Amino acid sequence: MSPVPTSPSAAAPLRGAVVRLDRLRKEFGGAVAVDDLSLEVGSGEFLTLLGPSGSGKSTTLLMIAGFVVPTRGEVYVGGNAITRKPPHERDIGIVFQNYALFPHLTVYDNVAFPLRMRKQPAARVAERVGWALDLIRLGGLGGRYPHQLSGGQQQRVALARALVFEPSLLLMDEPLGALDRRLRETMQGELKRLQRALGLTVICVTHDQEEALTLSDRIAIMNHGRIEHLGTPEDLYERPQTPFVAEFLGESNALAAKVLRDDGPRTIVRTTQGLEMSVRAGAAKSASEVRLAIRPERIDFLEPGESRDNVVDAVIDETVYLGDAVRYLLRTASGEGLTLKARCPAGGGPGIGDTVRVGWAADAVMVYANTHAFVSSSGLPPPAQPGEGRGGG
Amino acid sequence: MSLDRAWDSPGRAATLVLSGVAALVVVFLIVPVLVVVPISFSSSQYLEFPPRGFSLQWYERFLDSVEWTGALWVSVQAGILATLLACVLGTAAALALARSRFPGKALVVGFLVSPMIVPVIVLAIALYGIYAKLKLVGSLTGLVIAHAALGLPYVIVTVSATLQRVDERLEHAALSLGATPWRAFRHVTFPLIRPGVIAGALLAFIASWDDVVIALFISGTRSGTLPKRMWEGLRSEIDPTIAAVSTLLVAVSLALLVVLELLRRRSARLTGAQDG
Ligand SMILES: Nc1ncnc2c1ncn2[C@@H]1O[C@H](COP(=O)(O)OP(=O)(O)O)[C@@H](O)[C@H]1O
Ligand SMILES: [Mg+2]
Repeated sequence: MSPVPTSPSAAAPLRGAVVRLDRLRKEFGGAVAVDDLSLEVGSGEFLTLLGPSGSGKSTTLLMIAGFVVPTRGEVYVGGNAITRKPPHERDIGIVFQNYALFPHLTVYDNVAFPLRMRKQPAARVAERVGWALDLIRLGGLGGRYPHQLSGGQQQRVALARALVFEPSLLLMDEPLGALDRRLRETMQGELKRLQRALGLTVICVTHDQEEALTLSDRIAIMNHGRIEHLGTPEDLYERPQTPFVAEFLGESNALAAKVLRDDGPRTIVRTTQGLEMSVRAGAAKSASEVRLAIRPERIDFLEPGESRDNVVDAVIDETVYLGDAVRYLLRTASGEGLTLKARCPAGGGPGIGDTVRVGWAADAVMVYANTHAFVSSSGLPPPAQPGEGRGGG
Repeated sequence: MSLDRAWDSPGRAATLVLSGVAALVVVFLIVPVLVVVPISFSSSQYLEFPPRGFSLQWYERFLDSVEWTGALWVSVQAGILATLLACVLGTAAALALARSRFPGKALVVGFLVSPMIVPVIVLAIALYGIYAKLKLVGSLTGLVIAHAALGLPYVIVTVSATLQRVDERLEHAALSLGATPWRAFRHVTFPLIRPGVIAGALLAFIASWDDVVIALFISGTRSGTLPKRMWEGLRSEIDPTIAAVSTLLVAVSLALLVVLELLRRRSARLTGAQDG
């Protein structure tokens, strides 16, 4: 990978601003799109807003950019309140969904646009545009029109145009959504490299969790206009704070259960289908209703004689081949549906209709008080109680 | 295959009938024009068809007459000024209608487009009533305003149609890159809607150029337009100068329509290239 050319104007890379949202709220005719959202993004941090469609991600981004006026609350960039500044005075770079390149201007003129709007002298414009085009490795394509470029090249031009005027903050709305999978992976790498090298503060909106996990320093999971959980990708995946997060990010088995009793270092719970299992002690009050979430990859097939905190016999209803793994849909004797994900066994694993013994550790069970609504995530059968709907839409 | 053909033949007969009717309509519309053009080059002293010989005497007479050239000058002035006014107001209205939501929007659209739907005579009488109070009857200003109202719907319709294909995110992008709203319009929105503005301008000019009804009501004797002068000429001195003037009017309208079609093709080619 070639080194990133640094900005000719400054020996040091750009310094991203600290961004703070203070109880930001937006109502559309009484409907709350963003609900008192507070958030701080560090200098040079890559933060992603991730959530289902309609959860308020774009509205939040548009309020930071200045295209949507908040009902109340403040936006601070670099310590200054910018809530009442018009968009063109904010100095925030934006990479739009579908790029929004100007179709009547060449690549060069697209990238030069923000500099010309700032009435920079021609020599300086040429120097900066050269720098930006080198940055995205499109040095030779300045004379082309956007429609003569591939999707990936357009994406990079949009990035160059958003960076050329050295904004203190970069916003991106579904930046890679329109690209095919391979290109998306390449661009993810490139984006991350640029962001690190330039020390950019980035706030990105996406509904693609893989993109969020790959790119972000921290992720804010949004639901119904609020942040459900803000943390590092590992935090979110390993220790989701709510069942919504457990289901939205990655896959999980969602079960409703009741706490039966404490048993030393464990607590025993029973699901509505009658499956008893032990979970970490202290996770829930005795006799309370709880929600459980278990990652499919934390449930294992057991060899004869092997044991776990929780062991159960089950029949395989269905198998889904995923390439690097296989997803098994199991049904226990008590009628509980479970999903198990395992590496492809070399000699071909168990098949549909086989009875297997599976098990999981008490620590693998995430326990939540029953105040949170469950939301079914994409790849899984519906949760134990079909009455609960999907959040957002 | 044979089944397809069996289905096809009644369709073919219908197409034939339709083409025939269309041809008749075209003939009825075109023949008067085809009669007028040769007469304008006649060497005879009277309006007669077929013309006797070839001469440019009627064009000469037209150019020599202060009355005719004066009327031509009024028509050109009114056409250009009304077109400019209609373009500025129409583009602004189309932008406001496309980029904002407000209660009663449909009503406003209907009102702005009404000069295209309401019979011109109604518009003319209404304008006369208002102009009489404002002492605008007989003034070029009054004529320009009236013709601008006549052209406004064309500009609104063509610009609105082009605006629909311009993504609002392009305007947001321009603003986010530091363009003031005016410069975002000038450097991004306007270049993208220019084909629509030009098409609207040509149609607005033709609307003014061809109008006789409004001119009859509100332009005075000094400030009569070419079509109005023709109307008056037809009632007093019938000579082939009228044919020469008609030919001139038709030629200008035709030229503008050709320009319009060329622009349409060019813009279709450009947007086609953008899709590909
Ligand atoms: N301009 C608007 N007018 C009315 N409602 C809107 C508008 N923009 C967004 N909303 C509503 O606000 C909510 C959040 O939308 P949005 O921020 O676009 O969500 P996301 O980007 O997460 O999909 C949705 O319920 C949406 O219908
Ligand atoms: Mg969105």
